[in-house]
Amino acid sequence: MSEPLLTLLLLPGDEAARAAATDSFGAQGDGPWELLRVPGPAGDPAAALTAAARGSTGRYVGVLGAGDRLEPGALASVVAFLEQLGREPAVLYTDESGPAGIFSKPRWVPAYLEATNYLGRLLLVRRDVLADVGGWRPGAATEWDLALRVTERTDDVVHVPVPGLIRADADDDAVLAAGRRAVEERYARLDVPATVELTGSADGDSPGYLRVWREVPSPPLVSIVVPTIGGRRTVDGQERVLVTHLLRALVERTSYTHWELVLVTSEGTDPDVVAECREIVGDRLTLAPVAGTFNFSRSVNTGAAAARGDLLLLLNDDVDVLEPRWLDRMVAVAQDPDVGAVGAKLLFEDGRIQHVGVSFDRDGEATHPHIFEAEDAGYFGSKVVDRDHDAVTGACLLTPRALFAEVGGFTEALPLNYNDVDYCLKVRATGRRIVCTPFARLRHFESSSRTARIEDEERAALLWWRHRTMADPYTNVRGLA
Amino acid sequence: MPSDDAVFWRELPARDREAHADEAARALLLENDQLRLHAAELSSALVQAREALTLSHRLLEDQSVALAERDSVVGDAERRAVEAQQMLDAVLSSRRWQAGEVVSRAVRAPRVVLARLRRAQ
Repeated sequence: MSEPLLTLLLLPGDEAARAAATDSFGAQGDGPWELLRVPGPAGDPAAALTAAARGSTGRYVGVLGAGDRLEPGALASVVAFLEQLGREPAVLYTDESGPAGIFSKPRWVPAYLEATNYLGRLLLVRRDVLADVGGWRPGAATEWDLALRVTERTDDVVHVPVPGLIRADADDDAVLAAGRRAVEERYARLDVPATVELTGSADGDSPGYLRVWREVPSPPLVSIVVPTIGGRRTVDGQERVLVTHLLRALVERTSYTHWELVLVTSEGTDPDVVAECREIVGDRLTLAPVAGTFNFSRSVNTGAAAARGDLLLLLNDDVDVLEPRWLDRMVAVAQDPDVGAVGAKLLFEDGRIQHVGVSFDRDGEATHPHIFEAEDAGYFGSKVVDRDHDAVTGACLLTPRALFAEVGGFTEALPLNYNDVDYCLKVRATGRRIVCTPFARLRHFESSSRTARIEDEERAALLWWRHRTMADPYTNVRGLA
Repeated sequence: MPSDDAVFWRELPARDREAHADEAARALLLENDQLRLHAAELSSALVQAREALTLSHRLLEDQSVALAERDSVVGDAERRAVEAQQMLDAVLSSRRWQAGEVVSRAVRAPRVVLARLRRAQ
């Protein structure tokens, strides 16, 4: 038999539980894999795991818990995956099921791992990469800690979309608490000042996950670019001018203070509305009038030209602030130099979800995952943790001004639709990430913006990005983001 | 010297075109990588699906063997029941059994009369 490609290390534990795991391994049949029983009493197995990995011969090493049961054909599927891929990624992970349900995981989403150990099991790490990071370290979240340390060195992390195993136990609060320390240590290693907190403290915030706050030592000036025609609609039972409603929310209910407002007015904007805006925001206001037929991209570019801040926040005028720290949150996420754009969670007026990022379906169509759904935790936290996406909506989009200029701003050939998607894909093409943070929550009275009718030429323009839109890097083969 | 604003507006469309053009150069490579990844994903799913089919097939075979065994047991029992019934019928219709029946009725008659008398008292 050839040398094993996959080595599974069976954790110490109850003998009957280990026997169940061993039986499931035996049912995999013959193949390039081996199972090593990690010696020692149940407890912290980090040192024993590392020693066992050193003595193994597999190209990849993973952990199997006592009581875990491998799914039939799981190991053969991983081997077939590697054969077809034609290379050996640093990290592989499979789907899993267990007490928490069936988890069909997304592809590699870096931000997600800092909120929860979504890589879970089977997590197979190439043995040389495992040796480079020194193996496992003691702690209740030893596997999460390993995943964090490995992914600091490489982003060559690949999802094998098959059910790998049925877990005997779900991660408990002790794992979450230890995971919090592991994420804190990651930021200490990276020399990035940050605070890691448990979620569940604020209104509409689901518990059970982590949230990282990068420190913002000198808060940058945020230029809030708001294109407006001064439209009205009924909000909370009262007829309101949308832009002034928004500006009051900015002034009264936004804790981040270092911002200016660039109001992009069009020919039809009522001068009285502009005067009222000036009254609300005072000398923070810069006017950037734009002439001609409405072109959202042109308006945004005009606003960006007039902006002075290091960060641009593109914001529709039909938005309302739900909680004070929304802008602090977006600025904190934007502190990561790898992040090129940040989006927010937008809710319809009735509280259902309008936006938690944009993904692409199997036909390459831009879609809003979870649209019209209730604002709950979603699928393994998908609605309540920071997640990478290929795009976020331009209704609320934070981006560095320098990057905006670097990629040529919004494409004016896309006057109404897909200009935000096009912008985000340009940002992605520079190698930067796009993150949507649900901890910045706003209401979006979207129906009042305009009717979204997609023109053929707009669809055609998006075809330019077909190689990206047909292969969303975060959406798995089952279409789950 | 042009103002910052003028530079911004002059450079913006050029950079926009540049960003799109740069992507064109990467498109084939990206597409190739993604197709390879997708093929690997589908291959792994196929292997597991095949394994699941093999497993189902094996379960069906086992089930089929168990059903055949049960059918055979049930068949044997039914055959034995028929044989027993035939044997019973043969016994009940034999002269010897019927003669015995006559005798036993005659023997039982006084007991029946006695029982009636007791109930009448």
